[in-house]
Amino acid sequence: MAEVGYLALVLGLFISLYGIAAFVIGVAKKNPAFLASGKGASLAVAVLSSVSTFILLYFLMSGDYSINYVYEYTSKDLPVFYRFAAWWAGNAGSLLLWLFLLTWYTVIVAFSRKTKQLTPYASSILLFNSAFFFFVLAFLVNPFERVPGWTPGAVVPDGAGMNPMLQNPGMVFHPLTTYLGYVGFAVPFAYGMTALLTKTADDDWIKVTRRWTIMAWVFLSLGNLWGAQWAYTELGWGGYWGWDPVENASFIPWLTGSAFLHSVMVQERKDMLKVWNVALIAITYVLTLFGTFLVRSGVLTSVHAFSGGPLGRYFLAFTVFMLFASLFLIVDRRKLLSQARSFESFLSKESSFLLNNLVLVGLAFAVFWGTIYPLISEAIRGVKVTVGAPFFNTVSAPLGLALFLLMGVCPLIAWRKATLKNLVQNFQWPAVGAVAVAALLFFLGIRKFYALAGFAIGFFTIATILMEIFRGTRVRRRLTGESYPVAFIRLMVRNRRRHGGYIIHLGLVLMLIGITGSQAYSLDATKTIKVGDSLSIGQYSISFNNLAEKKLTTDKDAVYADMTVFKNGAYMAQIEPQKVFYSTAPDQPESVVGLYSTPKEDLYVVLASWDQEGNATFKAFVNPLMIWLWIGGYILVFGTIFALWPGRGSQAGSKYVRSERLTQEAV
Amino acid sequence: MKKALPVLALALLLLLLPSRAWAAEDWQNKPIPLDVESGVICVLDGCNMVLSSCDDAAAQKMRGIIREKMYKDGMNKQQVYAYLSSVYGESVLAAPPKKGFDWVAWITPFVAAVGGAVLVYLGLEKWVIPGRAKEGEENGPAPIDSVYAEKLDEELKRYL
Repeated sequence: MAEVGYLALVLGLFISLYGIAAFVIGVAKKNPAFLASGKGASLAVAVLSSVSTFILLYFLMSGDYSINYVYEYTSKDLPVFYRFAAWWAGNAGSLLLWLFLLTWYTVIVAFSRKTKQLTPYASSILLFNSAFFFFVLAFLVNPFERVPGWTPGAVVPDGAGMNPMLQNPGMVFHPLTTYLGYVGFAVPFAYGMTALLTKTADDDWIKVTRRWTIMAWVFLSLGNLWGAQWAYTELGWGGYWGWDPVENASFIPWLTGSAFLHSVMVQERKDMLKVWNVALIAITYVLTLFGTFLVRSGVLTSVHAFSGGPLGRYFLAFTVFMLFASLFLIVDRRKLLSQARSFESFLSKESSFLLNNLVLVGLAFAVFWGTIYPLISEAIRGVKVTVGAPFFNTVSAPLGLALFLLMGVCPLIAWRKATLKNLVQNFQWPAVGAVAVAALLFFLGIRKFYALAGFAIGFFTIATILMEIFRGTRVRRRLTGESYPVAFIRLMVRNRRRHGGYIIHLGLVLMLIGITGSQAYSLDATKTIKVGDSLSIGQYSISFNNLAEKKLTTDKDAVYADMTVFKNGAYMAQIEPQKVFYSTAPDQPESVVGLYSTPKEDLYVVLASWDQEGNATFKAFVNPLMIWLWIGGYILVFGTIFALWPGRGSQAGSKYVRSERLTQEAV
Repeated sequence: MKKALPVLALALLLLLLPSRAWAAEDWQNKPIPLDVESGVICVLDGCNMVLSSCDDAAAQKMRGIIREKMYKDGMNKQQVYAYLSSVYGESVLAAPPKKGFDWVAWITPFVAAVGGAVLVYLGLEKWVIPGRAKEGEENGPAPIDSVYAEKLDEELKRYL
């Protein structure tokens, strides 16, 4: 059966190439038979990638350890849930997941009835991507390869098992959502390039791909959020974001994707920024490829990376090719994308979007620059340096705060032209409130600049959004006579696109509050104590009641500390920090954090080590406002679904183009 | 008084000796400030995690070195970093040092942001239609005819 899985990959490569040829001939000769054949090829390719996928899943579930991939990532004792998740736990499997998603996305595009003229081109571009992944899987990282030394008929009794750190729900969903995000950006990219190839300068491609873009963006958001949650609860270092190159690799396209989501609104409303939008989506997709390259190349040191090998070179070549092909198209079609001068004021929503894009792309560049700087340093000075949290925190903090400030300002500025009077009317009370918040916090003893600025800007942005919603509700109530609750709900639902955006911004501000609190005022303590003693940190006292061992499953044993949490002398909770030992990886125990979480702060206790006398060393952290990071993240997801749900209220507003231009166009 | 000085010095030395000896034992258990640990990479076993995030044997060994340098040899944070760089190379530091060529790492993002801001300004200069904004400001919005205002109200009600 392994041979069938492999053959499907090889066939998939050839049929992808055939599909591209069929679409090209179909378009060139205007031959419907070839176009239909191209569609059929798209479907065949998806079926073939599914055949390979299901065969690999069968091997993973049935435990055929003669397959090297199954041997490396599973074992007899691994629960079914993680056996399934082993699909994307390793290099070959995760690339197969990428291919599986890409081929079915291609089918949806190829059979789409909305954009018949654009479909063959977009499908060809997606098939070209599929061909690359089929090639990689067939010739570089074959997921059906047998274990070394295997002979037909031989049975391999057990596998090496999955890395214990990956046996966590967060690590199951984090890669899956990240890939859904990465691959999702392929579709708007393909349509963007199609618009250039077909010389159609209108915004049809943006309208068609809006849902794709937002879905990709929200999946990437979830991927980053769940990755952070996994790091927080699993790695036991008290933090959630380490600025590792691989983490950065999924954050950078999220930033450029966010910039794209905002700048396309200017094209939708004003027919402007066409070059910028095509360039942004091209960069975003290329960055997803770059991220995949980083994980697999071994060029940068990362705790998340798969082992190196020749794959990195091929990925780099493909990434560079896609980058230059896109750039060539953009430069070649620049006249097509030229725009009229049609900003009516320096102070308008469209100009504020330029600022928003400047900050988002600036932040993306700063993170990208820091990520690749070790390579630059090595190339120029011959010295490989590390670029970690101190660098990224320094460069991203001012840009991040600027971004959150714009988040409060931009949505309330009018399209076309805003006046100073509008600004004062919209922002005076939130600004006064923000200054008051900063003064109050200063008075309460908060002296760190970024903390004061973060909380003040957070307040400002929340206040502007809530005031805007309140104003809308009040106007609606006055016009319709509805009660406040009914007016509020109908206001929100009738323009879900706009209000979904506000909800997303609210979620992001809550995340900012969580990040600011936990970064600026985290406490930590490390202490070795014996049973009966206590560990003190901040207002907490944690008494160490007992250290014991228990069997969790047949392959897992835990050493745990029974602890009682007191705050200012009052009982709060029982916690049980653990170290879990897997029989397949006894030297790699998994940390289970003892967590007591409240809206004000998290108490986070890690059992670091112990000795035969019953002494144990604990690392404890108090992370203020931590829970708001997660709550904000889920509000962001809710806001996205709210905005995206089909039906009335999810459409874009009307265009704001100058009347004389419309007249010219009509003539 | 001059004769008493050596005696006083000897007495002081005797007083200090036990405390030094005690200090030599105690520094091994002293905690390392988080800001020091988070500026160092655990390089001894190639795990390459930030030291504050790492708890393996190599990390404990590195902590031992840092404690020795901080509490036994009396080095400050920067001196500890300089010592670690001289032994393990610059990659032991979690961020490039702010000196020489490595300044490029620190200033490039801000230079790029300023450059971007200039481009945005130039773009706006080019795209904003001259005079239009001014004209709008001077004249204010055109008054709405009462017939249209009524119609607008009706349509709004229907839409809402």
